[in-house]
Amino acid sequence: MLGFLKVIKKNKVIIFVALISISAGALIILTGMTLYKMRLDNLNVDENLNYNSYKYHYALVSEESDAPFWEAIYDGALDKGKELDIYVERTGCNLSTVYPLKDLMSMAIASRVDGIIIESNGDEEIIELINMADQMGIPVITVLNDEPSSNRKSFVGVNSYNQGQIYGKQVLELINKGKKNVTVLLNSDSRAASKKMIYSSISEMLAGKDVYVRSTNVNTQTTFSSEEDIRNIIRDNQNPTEVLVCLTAIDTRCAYQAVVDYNKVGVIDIIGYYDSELILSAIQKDIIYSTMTIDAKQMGAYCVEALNEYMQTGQVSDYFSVDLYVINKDNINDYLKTD
Amino acid sequence: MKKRIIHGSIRVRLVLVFVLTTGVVFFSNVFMYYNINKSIANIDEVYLSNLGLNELMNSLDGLHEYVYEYLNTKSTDSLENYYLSEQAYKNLVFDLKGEVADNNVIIMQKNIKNMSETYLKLVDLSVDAKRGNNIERYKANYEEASKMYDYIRSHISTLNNELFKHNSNNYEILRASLSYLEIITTSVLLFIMVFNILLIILVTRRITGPLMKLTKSANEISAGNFDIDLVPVKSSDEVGIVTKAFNTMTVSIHQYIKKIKESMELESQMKEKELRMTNHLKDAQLKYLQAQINPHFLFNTLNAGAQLAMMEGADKTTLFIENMADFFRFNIKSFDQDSTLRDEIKLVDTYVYILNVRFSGKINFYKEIDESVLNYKVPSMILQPVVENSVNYGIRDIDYEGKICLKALQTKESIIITIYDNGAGMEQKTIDRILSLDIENDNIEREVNITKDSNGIGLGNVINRLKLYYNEENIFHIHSDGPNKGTTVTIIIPKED
Repeated sequence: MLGFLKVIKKNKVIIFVALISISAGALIILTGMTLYKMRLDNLNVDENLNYNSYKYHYALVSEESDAPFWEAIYDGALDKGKELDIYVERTGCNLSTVYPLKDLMSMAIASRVDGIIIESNGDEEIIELINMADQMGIPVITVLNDEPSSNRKSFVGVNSYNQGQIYGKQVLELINKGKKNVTVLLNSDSRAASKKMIYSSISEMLAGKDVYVRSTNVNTQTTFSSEEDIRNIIRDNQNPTEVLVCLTAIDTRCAYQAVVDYNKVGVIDIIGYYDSELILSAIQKDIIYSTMTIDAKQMGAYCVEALNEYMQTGQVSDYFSVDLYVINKDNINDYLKTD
Repeated sequence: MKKRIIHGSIRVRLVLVFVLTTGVVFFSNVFMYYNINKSIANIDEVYLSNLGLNELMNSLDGLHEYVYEYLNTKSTDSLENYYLSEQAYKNLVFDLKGEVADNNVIIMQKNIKNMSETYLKLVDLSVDAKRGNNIERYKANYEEASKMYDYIRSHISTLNNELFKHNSNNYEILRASLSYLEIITTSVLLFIMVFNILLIILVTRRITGPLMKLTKSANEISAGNFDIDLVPVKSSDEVGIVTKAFNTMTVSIHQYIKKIKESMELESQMKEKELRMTNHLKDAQLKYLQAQINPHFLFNTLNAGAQLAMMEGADKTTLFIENMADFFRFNIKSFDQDSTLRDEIKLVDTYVYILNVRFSGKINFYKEIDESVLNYKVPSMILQPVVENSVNYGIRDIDYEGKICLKALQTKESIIITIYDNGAGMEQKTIDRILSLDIENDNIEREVNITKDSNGIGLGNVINRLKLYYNEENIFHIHSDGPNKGTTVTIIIPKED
């Protein structure tokens, strides 16, 4: 009996060892596989499958001239859209070919999105396309540049008149410091009314002062030409410019670089547009006098909200105004802090 | 019993262990292969999406070509081809995802899908217009469709690019992960191997441990050492059975050897006795042979003397010489033959007569003999040496009258022969020495010293022969009360049945 018990005991030892080895093997395998899975997860192999679905699909159509600015608008729109179960797409942004605005608009319409946000360039074709989209039941909202004659449902942007007034105030400050020659940079291809409105608003503000205001069309038709034009203005000693008003972010950057290159810091004051890092640091260094910026993210959010409101209720306010800020040496530190 | 053996049997254990280890290795391998295959399948699928898009692109190109061909030639073939390719393209487009999602790949698929539908509609319209000969419309629609075709192509190629980039990345990662998997697999197998080896070592040690003990014991036994402990039986497997059998065998061999040893000892004792007996006889013989040279000559001479004395009529001289002759004749007799008490007593008589003649009747010799004992057989030459001893050491040098008395009587078990003298006596030391004298160990020299001037055989020889003959220690006694108080020698001869 005792022997029998011993045998059982002995076999138990073997079974025990066997079980331990099996469980150890299983443990090793499981640990290994978990590590492997973890590694795969870390490497994002299944990125393709990780996405969120949304109910609606809006398209943001714009020419990509002011990339960081539009990036901000798009971010604002995307974030707002996600809150409202909407995905906002930047039409054509990652296509291998760069398409003109009208083609992008056509694509958006052909893609039968649920809504389109577009920055018009004032072309007739764009108006036609907006109308066509409207016919097909796709609501269109214009942003920054309005197309009031089209069937767009709403406009989100800056009041150009107000913008001009604010520019004017900045110029006035400089005039009070003894500057006289003011140049406003306009885009040669800009048929959009908004830029002209800004210019006339500035002129109106400066009327009756002892200043010489002129506008120069910067050629944006061919690539890189705008930069050359701006350099020419700054180099021009016959009609020297003392205050350079830039209405786009790109122009501001070009002007800044040219002023530095031709050693005109302090001679030419730049009133810029947009709040890119370079521009802000230029303000800190006293190269750019002041800049004007709008809350791009807010603007994007407004667009989506407006479209959504229209889709939900069938009507929407005709105009959403976006706030403008002036950044100069006095408030730049506050601005950087809040940012 | 059988069940128990099967239960703990080595075979079962070995099979169990091997099945177990092989099983573990097998399952881990299956598991690993499953994972590797899965990974490879993943890798295989990586570029599948690109292939699909290429197919879509080709289908679109074909479709557009046929539309152009039809619009150009209005041939029935191209129309048929157009319908076929339109259906094919529709099918392909149908498979695209139409979901709205925050993923470029998905949203592009949706755009391609929707644009394709727009494109197909436009193409359809232009084909219809062509058939209806509406030139303006089909041209306009075709232009639109071409534009759309361009957009779709652009989208597809971008998507293809994007997917390719993504897939290439995935491919790299999967390839990397495959090597990672390889490392994991190898290490898992290594670990399992180590565990299996440990398990096998454990089990085999359990099996071979008792075997080693058994071998050790077997070696000891083969070296002749039987006084080893029994090998403990711990298991009831085959080794356990062998061990038990071995233990039984050890015990049996042990007992057997003991028996043999005992019988051998007995045999050697017997042999020794026999040897010693012969030795004593030889010794006695030697002495008598030494003495024989004279006795033969003397015997013959004495016989001649006796005849001469008879012829001369000297009766006393004749008797004396006859006695002398008798004495020597007895001495010549073969020692191999046993004598009788009668002969022994007669020899004593002869001896005493000779001595009395020699010492002119100085010795008073008395006999008290139970007649019934006379025919008992005894070893030869046992009484005369004792009497000789009594004469030589007892009564020779005393100044009073010496007496020697010989008594022979029988009890129930034995015959008691007593030889008494009233001579010088013996010290106990001398008695002890005589009694403990061992002819085999002590040389003749010493005996000669003790029994000097002996006629031949010493007391020691007599004692030892008696002891050997009767195989009895308590056969010969010497007693003396001290100097001048005489000596008594008692021989107790057991009666033989």
